[in-house]
Amino acid sequence: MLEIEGVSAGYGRAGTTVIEDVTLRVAAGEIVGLVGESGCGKSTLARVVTGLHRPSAGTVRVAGVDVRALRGKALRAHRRQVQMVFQDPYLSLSPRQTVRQALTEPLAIHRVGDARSRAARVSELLELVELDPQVGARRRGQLSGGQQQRVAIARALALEPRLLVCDEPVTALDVSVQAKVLNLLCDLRDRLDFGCLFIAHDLAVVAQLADRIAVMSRGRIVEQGPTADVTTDPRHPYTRLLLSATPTM
Amino acid sequence: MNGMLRRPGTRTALIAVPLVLFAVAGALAPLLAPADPNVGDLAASLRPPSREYPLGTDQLGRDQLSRLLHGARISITITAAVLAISLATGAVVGATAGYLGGWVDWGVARVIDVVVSLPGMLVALAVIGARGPGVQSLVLALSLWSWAPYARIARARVAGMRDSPHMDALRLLGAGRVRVIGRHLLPPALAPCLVYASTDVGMIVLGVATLSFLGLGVAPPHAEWGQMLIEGQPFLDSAWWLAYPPGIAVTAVVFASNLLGERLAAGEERPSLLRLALPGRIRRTARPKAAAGTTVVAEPSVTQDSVLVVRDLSVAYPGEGGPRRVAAGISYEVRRGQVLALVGETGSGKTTAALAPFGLLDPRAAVTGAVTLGTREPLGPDPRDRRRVGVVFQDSAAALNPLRTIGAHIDEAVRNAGRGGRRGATRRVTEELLATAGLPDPAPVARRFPHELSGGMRQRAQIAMALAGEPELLIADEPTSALDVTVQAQLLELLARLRDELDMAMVIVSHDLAVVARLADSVAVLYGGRIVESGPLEELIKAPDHPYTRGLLDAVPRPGAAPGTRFRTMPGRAGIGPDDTPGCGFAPRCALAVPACTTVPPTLEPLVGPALEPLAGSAARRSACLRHPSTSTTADGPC
Repeated sequence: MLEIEGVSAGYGRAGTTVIEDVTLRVAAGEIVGLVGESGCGKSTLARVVTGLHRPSAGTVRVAGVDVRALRGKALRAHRRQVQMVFQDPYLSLSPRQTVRQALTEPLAIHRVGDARSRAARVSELLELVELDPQVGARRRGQLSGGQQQRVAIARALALEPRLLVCDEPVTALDVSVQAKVLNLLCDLRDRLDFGCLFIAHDLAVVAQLADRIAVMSRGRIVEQGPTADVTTDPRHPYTRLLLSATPTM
Repeated sequence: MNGMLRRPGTRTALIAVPLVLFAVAGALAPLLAPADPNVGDLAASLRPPSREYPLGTDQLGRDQLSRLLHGARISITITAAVLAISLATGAVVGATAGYLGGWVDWGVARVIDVVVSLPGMLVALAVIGARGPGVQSLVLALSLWSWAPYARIARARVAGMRDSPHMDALRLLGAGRVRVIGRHLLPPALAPCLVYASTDVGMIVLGVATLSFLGLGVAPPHAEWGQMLIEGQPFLDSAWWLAYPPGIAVTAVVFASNLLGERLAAGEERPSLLRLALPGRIRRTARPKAAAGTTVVAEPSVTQDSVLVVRDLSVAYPGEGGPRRVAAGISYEVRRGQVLALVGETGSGKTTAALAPFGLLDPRAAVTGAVTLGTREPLGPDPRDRRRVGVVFQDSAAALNPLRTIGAHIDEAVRNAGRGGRRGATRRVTEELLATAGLPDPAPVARRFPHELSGGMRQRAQIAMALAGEPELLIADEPTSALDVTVQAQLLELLARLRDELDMAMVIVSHDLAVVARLADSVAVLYGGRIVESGPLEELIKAPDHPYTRGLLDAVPRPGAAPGTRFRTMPGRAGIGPDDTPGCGFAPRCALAVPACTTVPPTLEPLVGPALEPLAGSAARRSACLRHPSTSTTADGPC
């Protein structure tokens, strides 16, 4: 579903490199966890994958198509394939829109259906993320953190993307709410079979969710493999450090 | 009336009265005016105010009141036109430039700078000089220099929102520029523009009057206020009624618009000032005293080692239907060299329970209960008492002043603690404190500004500041929540070291039991503003009694779980207050609840039972649950 090959990216004209020579694959229906500390380049990789940031080298293919080769309408159509869930659900929603309006927006942008079918789809989405239909009339400020993140997930799934990039989606949530959102993501992946790149700094969270784990440090992927291998037999010293620092019970 | 005047809403409305009159007069001038403003009766020239002519007549015998009303109409028409043009142009240009960024933004910003720095009157004179006087020229001349501030405001607002996750989400959803700017950026950018417009009304009205006064605006015989002023000027001594009314009208409108703009801006950007003026404020009880009839069964016993003892703490905030409690019946104790963790979800009252004893809440909070720090009440009249408690907040970026160096922050704390001396001596203490907080190279760190440090280093700087007064007690409110796991582990290690080396007592607030498990000696779990379970950390984790504690533990990821293993979760969500239900606040979400749970308030009582006997010190365990699953002999049940 997602193939990242030899991708490097940086910011500014001087080209401060933030990520270097990253190669990573996500298959359909697979959750790949990307762990690393803040500033290691995780979020930059997310922005490169979603097309919000241009890589300076390497290719990113989603469903076999190189995003960089696309322009205009083709690019817009392709955008539907990759959606993102952000760390701060509060900031990722509009303060002015109700939940229903926010969920209608992607359908309106891509001119999907008429008013009636859009309303039906929005109800379906609310049900999908286990939100009460009454929540549809509320605005950002009237929702709890968990509800906000559910809305953000529903919005990202409105166009039935084949890849969902989650950038620290539960970091801002209480542990008890975090557990529910993680369960929801697992359920949705099982039902909709999208590939998922799940970014987090907490190895414990990633280990319970992801099929495979990639560990990133200073812009490079230092270790990747099936979850059990990485957590029980870490090869790289940085992975070991992460494991020892992870709070567990 | 006096009471009404004190309400900010009423005051704003009073300030707006001249503007409302101005608008009404402008809109209804043809209906309100008793006579034609431009047709005079020469036989009745220069009559003083009378019943027939309420504001007198001018030298051509025209009714002054009618002219004043029609003057408002002309003034408001021109003002509206200028505002509409400059607001629309400014907001669209500013928002577009702010969103596009790059060289477009650079160019537009320079143009705005130039236009804002031009003297407006000169621009207007030049335009009117080139085009000749008249209403159209006037509108054009005034619009040419009044659009720029709107563009500047909109640009700043949009530039701040451009890179927000919401905009990224829209881009990913495929939204085009027109949609993003038009639907999502312009509306929020318009709000501060409209606030500015309320001030701008006055400036435009004054501009119109001034230009007309100079003979460059509205031409005679039209009744414009500036025009009326210049016409009335020669008769200032003999016929005062000619010049005074338009003069007063212009002044009133300009004053009102300035005051209104100021008030609106205060509401928009300085809510803290407004809050002080809000009605219904409740004073914090100066000296917390124990409330009678408490539900606490076992009160913490004061021993020689007790650093902080809190008994029956309740906190209420003013609400719509009277005060609403957010925490109730909270009792806890922290001993020397021990760490107590207050754990709970957002809204559980954990931060309130930690900060309320020291008056660190919103000033509207009403706090009751008994607090003893050492042997005295914590915040007596002696300012030295303040130093006995050090506080570390979650958001280190917000807790430090961005314009002062780390060293300056700690120097101040050291001086306040009376430990400083000359500058060099103070700085030496500061550097020692930074080193104690685990910053190995304190001298250069002290010279840096908060934004130059990483989150972990800033948190250490906060700890150094908190240690300046050599406190008996350190309160840390979610000290590691914003940090990476590796940095979090180091910080928890530091806190554990401080506890051991300085024999300090600590209260640590967190939503994550796994985090506090590394540090805490004892735990109090809060739900809905009450403590539902407390006791030594290890016992509580090994054999949680309260179903909510069990739920919190289930939410912590387990190492070694197969990928895709679902967490056991609690249904429903938090958000209940301590007084919202007669029974147990957790009952609606609890798998073990029986009918009695919704009606009988559970008390926090000591745990005894077969399951607990092998554990040491179980007498200190307390739980507020009717079912007490951990003590029942019939297994653990469904939870």
